[in-house]
Amino acid sequence: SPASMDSLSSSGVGDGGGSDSDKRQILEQLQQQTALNLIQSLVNTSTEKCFEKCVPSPGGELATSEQKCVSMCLDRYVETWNIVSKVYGSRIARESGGGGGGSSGISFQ
Amino acid sequence: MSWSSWFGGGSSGGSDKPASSDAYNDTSSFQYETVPSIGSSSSYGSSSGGTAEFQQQVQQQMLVAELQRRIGQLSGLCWEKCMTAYPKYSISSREENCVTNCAERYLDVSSLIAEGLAKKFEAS
Repeated sequence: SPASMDSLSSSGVGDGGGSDSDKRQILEQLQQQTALNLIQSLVNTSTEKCFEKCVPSPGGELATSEQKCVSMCLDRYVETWNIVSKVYGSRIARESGGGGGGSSGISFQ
Repeated sequence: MSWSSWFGGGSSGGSDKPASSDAYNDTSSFQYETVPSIGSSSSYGSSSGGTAEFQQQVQQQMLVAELQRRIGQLSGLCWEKCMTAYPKYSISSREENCVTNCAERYLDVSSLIAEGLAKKFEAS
């Protein structure tokens, strides 16, 4: 993974000698990897959920109604994801802004 | 907190669509809200920050990744609990409330567990 210590030391960052562009590249790779993981997770979970919901008895092909169901199911799953994401976000904002727990020093901008 | 969406497009729910619309066209507008971004995605290239700043940025990005993983997990859970009906053109307010409560209560449980376990480790 881009964040492994091997890749950090091989690009010279581990010994403090990494250039800005090295750092930027690593951070960009990290971001890309994060994005890829997110997409993969969304694909996997929504495929599973929507298969369960829409294709109770798999036949020789997907019926039009089943295709439509999958399409709507995907939309509904994404909405569900967004709702859960909001709840997480509010909770984090509440807990990091609200008091003495900020020992990690991480803040979301 | 700044939210960024991975994909553009309009909002995905809330309007009735004609029954005759193509199944594939219905998926044309997604909007994924995601976890807070660490500033803007192009902000990494600024001044020559030290190793400490870099490490913090790496750490933050990994936190974001972990958060997304948990959101994905919880979304699956709350889908099972709340989205039991056959998929419709939009999410109902009952379902929306259910998902919200599901996520909130899960996080409450998560806090309780963390506290409870912390006490157990303290005691021993």
